[in-house]
Amino acid sequence: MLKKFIEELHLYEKKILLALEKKKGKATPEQISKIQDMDIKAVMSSGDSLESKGIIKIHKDIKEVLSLSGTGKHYALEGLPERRLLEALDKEDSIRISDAADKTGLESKEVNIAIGWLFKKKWATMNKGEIKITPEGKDSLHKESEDEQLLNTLLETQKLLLDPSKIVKEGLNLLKKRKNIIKIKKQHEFNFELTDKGREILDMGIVIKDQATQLTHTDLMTGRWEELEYRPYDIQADYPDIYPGKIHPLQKTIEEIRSIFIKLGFTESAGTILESAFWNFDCLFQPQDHAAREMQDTFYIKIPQMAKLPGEELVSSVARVHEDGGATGSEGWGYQWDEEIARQSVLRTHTTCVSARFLEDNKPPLKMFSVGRVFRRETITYKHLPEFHQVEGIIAAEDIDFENLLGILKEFYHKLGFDVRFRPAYFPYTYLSTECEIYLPEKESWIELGGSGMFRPEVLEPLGVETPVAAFGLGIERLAMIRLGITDIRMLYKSDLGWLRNLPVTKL
Amino acid sequence: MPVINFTYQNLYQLIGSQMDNQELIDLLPMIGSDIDDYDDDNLKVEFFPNRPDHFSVEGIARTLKGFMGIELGIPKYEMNPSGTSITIDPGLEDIRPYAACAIVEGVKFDNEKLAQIMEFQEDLHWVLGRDRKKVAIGIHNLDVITPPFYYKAADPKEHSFVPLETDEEMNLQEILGKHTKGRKYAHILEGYDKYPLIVDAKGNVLSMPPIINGELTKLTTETANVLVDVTGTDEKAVNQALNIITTSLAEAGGKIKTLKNVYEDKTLELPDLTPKKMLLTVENARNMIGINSSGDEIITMLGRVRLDAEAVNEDEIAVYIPPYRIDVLHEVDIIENVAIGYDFRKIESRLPDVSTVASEDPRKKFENRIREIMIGMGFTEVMSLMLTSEEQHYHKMNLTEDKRVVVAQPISQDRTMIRKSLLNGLMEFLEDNTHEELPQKIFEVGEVVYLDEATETQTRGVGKLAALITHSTANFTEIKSVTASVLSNLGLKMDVEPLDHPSFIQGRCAMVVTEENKLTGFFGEISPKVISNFNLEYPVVGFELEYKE
Repeated sequence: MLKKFIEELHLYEKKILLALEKKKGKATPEQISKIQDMDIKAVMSSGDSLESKGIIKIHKDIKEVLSLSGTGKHYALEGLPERRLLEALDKEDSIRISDAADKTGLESKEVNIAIGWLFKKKWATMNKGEIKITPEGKDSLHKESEDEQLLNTLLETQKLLLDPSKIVKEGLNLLKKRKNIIKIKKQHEFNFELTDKGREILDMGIVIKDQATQLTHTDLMTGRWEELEYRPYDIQADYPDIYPGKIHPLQKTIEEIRSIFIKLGFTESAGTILESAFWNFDCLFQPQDHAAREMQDTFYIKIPQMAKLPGEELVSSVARVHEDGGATGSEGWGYQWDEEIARQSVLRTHTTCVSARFLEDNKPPLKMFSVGRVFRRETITYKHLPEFHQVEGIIAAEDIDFENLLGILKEFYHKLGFDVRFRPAYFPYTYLSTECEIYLPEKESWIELGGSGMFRPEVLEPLGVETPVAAFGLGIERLAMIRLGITDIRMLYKSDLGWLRNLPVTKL
Repeated sequence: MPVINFTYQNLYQLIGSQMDNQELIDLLPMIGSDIDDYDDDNLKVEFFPNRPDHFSVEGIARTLKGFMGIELGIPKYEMNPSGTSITIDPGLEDIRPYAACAIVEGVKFDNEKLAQIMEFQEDLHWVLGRDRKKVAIGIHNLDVITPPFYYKAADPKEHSFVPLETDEEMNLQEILGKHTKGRKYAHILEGYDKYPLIVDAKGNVLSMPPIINGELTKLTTETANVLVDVTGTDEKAVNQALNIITTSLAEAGGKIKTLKNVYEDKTLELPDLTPKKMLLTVENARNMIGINSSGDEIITMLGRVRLDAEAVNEDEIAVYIPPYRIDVLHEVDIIENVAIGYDFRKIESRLPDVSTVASEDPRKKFENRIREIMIGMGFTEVMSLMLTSEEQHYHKMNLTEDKRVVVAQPISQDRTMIRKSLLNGLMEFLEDNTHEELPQKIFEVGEVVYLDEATETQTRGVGKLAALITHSTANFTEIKSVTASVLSNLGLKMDVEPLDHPSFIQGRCAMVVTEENKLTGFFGEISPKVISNFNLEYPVVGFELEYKE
C-alpha cells in the first residue's frame, strides 16, 4: 500500500521529503529550496500536495508587516505637520490660520491636517482664528509622541513586524487615523513538518530514479518512450485557474436587445452624445423653462457652449408650435421662443433626439431603434450614475395605434423573460404616455423600466411627418442588474475583474 | 417630480368610502402616478408635472371618485361674490404684473392639513411657478385683515413688517438681506427699485411676493377663512394656480367667494371656473387608441376622468375642460384622457402589421467583429464612463491638455470632461484590480468625442479600441503581436513608424499605419511614470486604435 504511495510521488515531492529528513523533520520552504536547488513556487505547490496526502503538515503563521507610504516617508523625514506648526508656534505668541502656511512652509491641505491634530493632541487652542500653544504643547516640544516614534523606527528599519508592544500599538492607532501613511501587509510564514506517515515513508527509503513525467517530442521521435515508465498522476491535484476572454455583461444585454429589434424588422440608427438643446428638448416640445431642462438635471457644456441649428424651416416651425401651436391645432405653450436657448450644447438626456433626427430624414412606413449612452446630472451612488444606456425605438406608419405600441413592448419584454404592465405617465413629447413596468416576484413589486407613447402633433408637424408615430425609450442598466442579480449599478462600470472572470456566461 | 404624502384614511374620507389598501395601491398608478413608498398608514405617491391638480390629496380624491364611478364629470363648486376687491398697481408692470386673488371660507385646518397645504404650495411653486419666478402663492388668515386689498409696487425702505418665522420687524430691503427666504429668492427682485407688496385697507402687510408672507396672516389650526393670493409674470399660469388651489380647498369643504381683481384697464371676478370647450372626433379617439367604443361610451370615459362631454353630432363630441386642468393643449390630450377613463389595464396589445427590412448600424457591426478578435486572444471586455477628468485623462497619463468637451457644471471634480481616449479608463480599471491574479488582459471598444467646428453639434464621435496587458514580463513584442493580429484579422496589413508618445517609454512606442488609414493608432510599453501614477506595480503594455466605421 505504502509502496504504491511512494511510486506515485512526484520527483519534487521526493526531493522535499529528503530535504526534510536532512533537517530533522522540520524546515521552512526557503531552506528546502536552498538544499535541493528548487524554485520556491515548486516547493510550495509540491508541499501542498504532500500535505493533502497526509505526509507532511504545513504550519502557517500570518505576520503583519508595517511599512511607510510616500506621504509616510515625507512625514518621517520632514516631521508631522502638527509638529512643524508646533515648532513655529513656539517662536511666536500666536499664529493666524491664514498665516500658518507661510510660517511653516506647509501646503494648505497640510495646514488643515496640522491644525486638526494640534487640537486632537491638545498642543494648541484656537480663539478667533488665532492658534496658541498650550502647556501640553510646550511639554511636547522636545518629546516625541508615539506616532512619531513609530514613524522614525519605520524609516530606519523600512519594514517592521506588527508586535503587541505598547509603542507600536499606540503609535499605530494614531497613524491609522490619517490617510495613506502606513501600509500594512500580511506576510505568511510557513514551516513544513513530517507527519508520522511521512516518517514511515522515509523509513521505507526513497530513491530518486529516472522517471518520466512529461511526454516529450524527442521521446516520441526517438522511440525512447518505449523504455520509459510514466509516473501516474494524482488526478485530484490542484490546477492553476485560467480565465477566458469575455464580453462585458452589460454589452451582452445590449447585444440581446439589438438582436430582438433586428429580428422584429427595425433599422438601427445612432446619434451623437453631444446635442443642441434644440434636438434634445425644443423639437420634442419641451418648453424652454421646463423643469427637466434646468441645470440640476442636465449637463450643459462649457466647450463647445453653442451648437449650430438645423435648417431655418424646421427651426421656425418648432418656434411656432412652442409659441402658439402653429398649424397643429395645439394651444402651444404661449411664450416667446428663444433661438439662443435652443443653441446651447447639452449631453443628450435621452436618445429620443436620435428618433427625431431619423424622422426628419426618413419617410414612413418605418421602424427604427437605437442604443446609446445618455447623461443625467446624478452623483455616483449604488443607485445612480451620471451616464447610462437607453434603447429607443419608433414605429411610424399610417395605421399605427396605441395598441400596437403596447404590442411591441410586450413582445420585447416577453422575449427577455418578463411580465409587463402599463400605466399612464407623462412626457412632454408624447400623448397616451405610458410607463412600462415589469414584475419582480422576489421583490413582490413592479419596477419602472421605460417610457413610451405616441409622438405629439407638436413634435411631428415640424418634422414633416404625417403618420402617427409610436415611440419608446427604455433603460438598459436596470434590466442588466435584475438579470445579473446585482444591486449596485457601479459594478457595471467600475467592475471587479474577479467578478467578470467568474461570472458564468449562462447568467445572461 | 412632486411626491404627495397622505394617509389612507384621509383619502377614504374625501372619497366617502372605505376600500382595501392594496386595491388603492393597484388603482392609483392607473390614474397616472407612481407609488413611491407606503406602509400601513401612509402613502407617498409621485404625480406628474402636467397634473398640478393632483398635488393635493383633495385633487387626487376628485379624480379617484370619477375613476371609481362615484361621481362623474366636472364637479360643481358653489361660488358667491365676496363683494370686495384687490387693486393691482400699474407700477408693477415691469416687475411682477399679474395677480389673481380669491377668498375661501369655512376650511378646517388641523396640523396635518397645514403641513399638506405647505407642501402643496411648494410643489406648485416648483412645477407651475418655476421656483416662484413665474408664479408665487400666499394663503392668509382672512379674519385678521380688512378688505379691500392692494397689490402695489412699494419702496423697499418705506415699508416694513414682521416676516414669517421671525418676531422682528424689517423693511423690504432688510428682508432680502437677512431673512433666509429673502436671501434665497432675492435674485428674482434683483435690479428693481420697487418691490411687490400686498397690503389691506389699513396698511397691514399680507405678503411680499414672491419672497415671504407676513407673520400676521399666518395660518393656524384656528383659521377658518382664507385669502389666496397668486402673483406672477404669466397671467395664464397665475390664474391656473388660483383655480387649482381654490377648487382643492373647496373639495376639502370650503366655500369659494370671488374677488374683484382690479387692473387699470379691466376688472376680473376671480376665480373664473368657466370650462374650456374643445372638439373630439370620435374616429380619431378610436383609431389612435385602437378601441371600438361608441361615442356614448367615450362620453362616459371622459366623465370618469372628470371632464364633461356631449355629442355634437354622430362624429364629434364637445369636451369641457375645467380650468384647473392645465394638461389639455390639443385633441390628442383628450384622447389620452379617454384611454385613462377606459382603463389602461383593459387596453389590448397587438403587434403592428408594418413590414420593414432590418439593418444594423455599420459601426456597431464592426465593433462586434473587434470584440470577437479580442475575446479570442483572451482579453476581457470592460466598460468605462465617458465622463472623466483632466487629472485622469491627461495628467496621470503624462499628457498635456488639449481641445476637448468640457462640462459646464460637473457633478464632481473627477467628472469634468468627455474622454478622447480609452486608455486612462483602462489604467483606472487596472488600478482598481491590483488584488486580482496576473496576467490581466483587458480591452474596451467605444466612443470618444472630439471637437469639430465643421459639424452641427461642433463635435464628432469617434470609435476607438484600446487594450492593456499587465504581468511581470509584459513587453513590446507581446503587444506588437496582439496589435498585428487585430489588424490582420480585420484584413489589414500593419506598418509601423516610431512615435514619441509621453504615456509610453521613449523608443518603445510605435505608430500604426494601414492602407487608406482605415485604422490608426499606436502601441507600446507604458512609461513607468504613468504606471506609478496609477499605483500599479507591474509592467503594462497596450494599444489604442481609432477606426472609421
